[in-house]
Amino acid sequence: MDDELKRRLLKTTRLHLAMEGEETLQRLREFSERPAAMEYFYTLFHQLANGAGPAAMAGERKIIATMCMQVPQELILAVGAHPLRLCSGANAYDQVGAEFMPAKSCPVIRATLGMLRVNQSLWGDTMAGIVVPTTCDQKKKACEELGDMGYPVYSLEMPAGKESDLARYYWQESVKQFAVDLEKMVGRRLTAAGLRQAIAKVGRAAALFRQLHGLRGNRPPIILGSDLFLVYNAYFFDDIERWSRAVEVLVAELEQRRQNGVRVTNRRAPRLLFTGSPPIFPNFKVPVLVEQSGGIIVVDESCSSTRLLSDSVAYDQASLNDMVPAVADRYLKPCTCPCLTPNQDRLRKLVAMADEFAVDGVVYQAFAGCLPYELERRQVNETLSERGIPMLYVETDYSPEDSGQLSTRVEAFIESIKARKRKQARQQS
Amino acid sequence: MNRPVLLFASLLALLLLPGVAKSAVAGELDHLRLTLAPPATATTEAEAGDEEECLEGHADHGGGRGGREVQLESEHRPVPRRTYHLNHYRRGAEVNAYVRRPDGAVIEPELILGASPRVSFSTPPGDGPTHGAHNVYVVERGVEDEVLQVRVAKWITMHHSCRWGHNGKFDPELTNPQSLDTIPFEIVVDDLWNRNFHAAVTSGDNLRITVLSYGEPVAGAEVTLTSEQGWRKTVTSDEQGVAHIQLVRDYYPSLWQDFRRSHRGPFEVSARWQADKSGQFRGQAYSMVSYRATHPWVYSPPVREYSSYGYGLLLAAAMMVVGGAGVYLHRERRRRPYRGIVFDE
Amino acid sequence: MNSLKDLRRVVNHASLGRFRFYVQLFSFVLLIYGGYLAINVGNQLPTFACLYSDLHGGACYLLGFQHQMATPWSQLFGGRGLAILIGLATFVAFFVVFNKAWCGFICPLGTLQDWLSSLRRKLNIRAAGYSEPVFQRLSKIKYVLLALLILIPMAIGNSFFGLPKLGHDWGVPFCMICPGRTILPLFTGDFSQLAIDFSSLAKLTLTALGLAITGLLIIGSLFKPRFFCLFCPMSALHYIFSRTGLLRLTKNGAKCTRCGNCFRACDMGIRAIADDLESKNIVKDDCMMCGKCIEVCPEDGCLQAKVLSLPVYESTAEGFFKRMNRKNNG
Repeated sequence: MDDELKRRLLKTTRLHLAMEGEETLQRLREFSERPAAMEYFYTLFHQLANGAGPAAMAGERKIIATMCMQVPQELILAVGAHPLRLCSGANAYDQVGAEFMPAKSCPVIRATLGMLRVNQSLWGDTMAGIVVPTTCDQKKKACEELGDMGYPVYSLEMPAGKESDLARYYWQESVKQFAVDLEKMVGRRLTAAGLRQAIAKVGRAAALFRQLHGLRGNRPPIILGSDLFLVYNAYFFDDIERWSRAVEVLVAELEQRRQNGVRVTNRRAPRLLFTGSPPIFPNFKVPVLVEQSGGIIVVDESCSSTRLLSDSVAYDQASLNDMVPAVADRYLKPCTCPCLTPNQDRLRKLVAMADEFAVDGVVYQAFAGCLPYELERRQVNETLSERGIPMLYVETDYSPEDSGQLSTRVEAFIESIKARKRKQARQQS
Repeated sequence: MNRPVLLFASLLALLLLPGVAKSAVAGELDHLRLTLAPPATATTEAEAGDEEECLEGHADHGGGRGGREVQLESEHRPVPRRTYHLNHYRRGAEVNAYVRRPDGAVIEPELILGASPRVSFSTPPGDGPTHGAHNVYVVERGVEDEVLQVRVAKWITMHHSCRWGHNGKFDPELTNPQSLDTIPFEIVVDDLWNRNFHAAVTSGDNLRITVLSYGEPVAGAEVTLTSEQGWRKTVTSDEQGVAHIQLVRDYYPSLWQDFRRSHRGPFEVSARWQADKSGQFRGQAYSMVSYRATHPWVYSPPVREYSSYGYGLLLAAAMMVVGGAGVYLHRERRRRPYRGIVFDE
Repeated sequence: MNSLKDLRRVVNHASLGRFRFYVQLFSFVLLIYGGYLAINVGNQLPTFACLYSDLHGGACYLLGFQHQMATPWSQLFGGRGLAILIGLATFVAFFVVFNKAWCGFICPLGTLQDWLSSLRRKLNIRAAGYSEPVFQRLSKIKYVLLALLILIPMAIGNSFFGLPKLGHDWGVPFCMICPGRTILPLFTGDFSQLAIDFSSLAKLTLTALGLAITGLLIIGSLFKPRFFCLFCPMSALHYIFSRTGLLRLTKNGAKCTRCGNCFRACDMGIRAIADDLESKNIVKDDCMMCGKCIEVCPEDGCLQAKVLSLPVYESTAEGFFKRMNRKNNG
């Protein structure tokens, strides 16, 4: 009886997921001037929405699943496992999660736990563990939930701040411990050569990311922000080398576009910075709305996108004792997650991004239930208004219900920026 | 047992010390010598003024410091004019003086004979043609009992200040001793100074002495080394005119506290040679030529007398072991679990 | 215009570390063996070109400086005072050209420590570092040494508070304890500085200290990169004139993500390079301007080495990944 119920739930969830995914992909395809190299990512997500399991990405390797970008990916790659970030953006899974999670909890956690509950049978032996860093409260509690579901959970302890020596030391020791435990989870030794190779792989991805990052700021814009969210989302689960190859093709194409003057939107489209809670496929509601309304997201600051690969490991000596702390530092020191206190670096980063990418406005997405982002709204708002940068604060979740109301607000925001720009242009001439 | 020896030695020293020595053997003439102070006024003048400091670090650095010793010339204190006194000269003999400057030029210094015979010449300061060793010669010639007596006094003036730099060290002309082939009888001692123009002889050194006559090596000359305390040794020069004499240790302060690493003791190299040559000199016939020459210099105690590699290396090694063990233990301690804060109450 | 841009790109992609290695090697040979070629760069060099190494091709200023500090005060207003000023001016003139890069690129003792660090890497000994409070405390030692190397010679030439003057054997006290004196002459086959001098209490104390410090330097360099430099009084003397340097190291705090790569790379362990977001001139007293921080900074133009205001080497993302790629696959 219970099994029957579960099977039905799974079936309907799958159906919803497929619909949801196809709809988002459909919306993306509707934009003009798609880069041909994006087809790889569309196909990838199409398969994912239609039931391709994560195991397909992992091949023969064991999967180390993570629930946050704070988990040192280099270590997972170094022991020959496949890192897979679980964070889900599916409303279908969110609804499953809502069955057993509080209504006020964050949709990312709800959807992720929902996915893990409904798909439990899928994972089998391939999943060697789920690593959850102790970042926000919801992730911490998710640890316990997952443990109760019977998953092999590893809680990676992370300090609540990064300023003090003690915090850095604590995190380094925590990561070292993780490295030791990871060997047991996967059953393979962590070697200096392996780690160096892993750092090289991530380094290559990061180098490509930088190129892409530089190109997206081009004037006029040559790629949509929504497309890039998709590219970076693929990094969650795709094989890192395959991802790098696909991005290389995309970068080459964009370089061509830049030279040929191909553009995806009109020259005067408001250039926007996207920040806040992470847009995760298929929940591209806000970015797609923004770009449908005539804006263009030229840069973003979110943990599902730019933050993934912004920073790179640099080590001095190719020994584990130097490389592992170097890897640890890369995940803590430049981190701008609002779960850290103080988080001045995020404000500085936003300002620097706004300057570098000549941004006209900021779109701040906060998921209902994501308190840290909600709480940082005031600081960000003040910092930006000091510099005369308008900000649209959007509190939303995964459900499509608020779409109408959202599109009105987004359109109004973009219109106001356009009006402002026109006024400035007139004043100048 | 030691006392009579010491007494004897000091007596001998009194006799031999430059300036006070008189003719020792009847019939034989004494050596001609150049000294810093006139022979009449004793040679115990204390040094005045501050030593000029040297930029070149050397263990044997710091000549003539200490005050209680015989006044010596220091290669660290350049003076614009140099004066050297002659112990005596024979009336009627021909006396000439020459100075070979480091640039090879030969000048005739001012030679004043009379009650206080002396030579004098200027050494302008600065790193120029006069920077380096000056060979000062006084040559006396005269016939006595049908013997042509040729006496040469040589002195090396090291005109140097570390302030002028040590660029001369790269010039072998300046670092090696030079001779003058117009001098009838000359002593050349190797390695009296090091590349930086600092006096470099220490007791225990085996001195290589060459005897020359008009630039040609002299075989069979008697070469004598006389030390500060009066110890002397005589050897005969070989075919190449070369003689080797090892300088003995000659500095024995009774207390270690009195030991001065910068102590400088004078010693003298002298040589005699007779040649069966006949001729006439200033209208006087001679059937034999007798040559004699002196060449004073200073020595210091050798570094090995007061320094120890053993202790030095032992100390360095001990520090390495202690340091290494310290780091190792610290690292081992770090392997233990995190230790909490302990309050100092 | 474009070719200049290309040139800068090439320079910024280059590995400064390799360039530095060769410059260090060249300087080492020049300063230790220059005498064989009759080269003498000068006697007021702001770096440890040791005078005790007989055929040096240039000489450290500190020895002459300590000698001059022993001048009696009564003579300070004559020619000797002028000589001191000229010496200092020459030192500053040398220093101004390369600023603290004298330490990172030229200093033979620094080079030697870098070679010991390479040996440490080969032996797979992990590098040590100090915690911030310890670092801050140790960092002050060099100023104490600088004060002592001025005051002790002064007490030789003058009487302080009616106390008797110090003996001449206390002369050049820093040289006597400097590991450069004991180690650098070894390269010309001169082992004489490895002995303890028992001729007087002063010499005994100083030479014994010198050898103890030499031992510590060798073992220390096998754990901590640039172990001695944190205590170097020359570095303290440099810092007084550092702002006048033509070569500069600047930081653009707005571009800094505080990722700490620079701090990790820093052999001296200067925290400010990562944490200081305000200072534009980021040359701290312990900095040796080796440029390792620039090499590992992935932010475009965040760290720059400039000659006056012209950037000659700056951090770029492209350069960073090129270098890391070489390192990861090399």
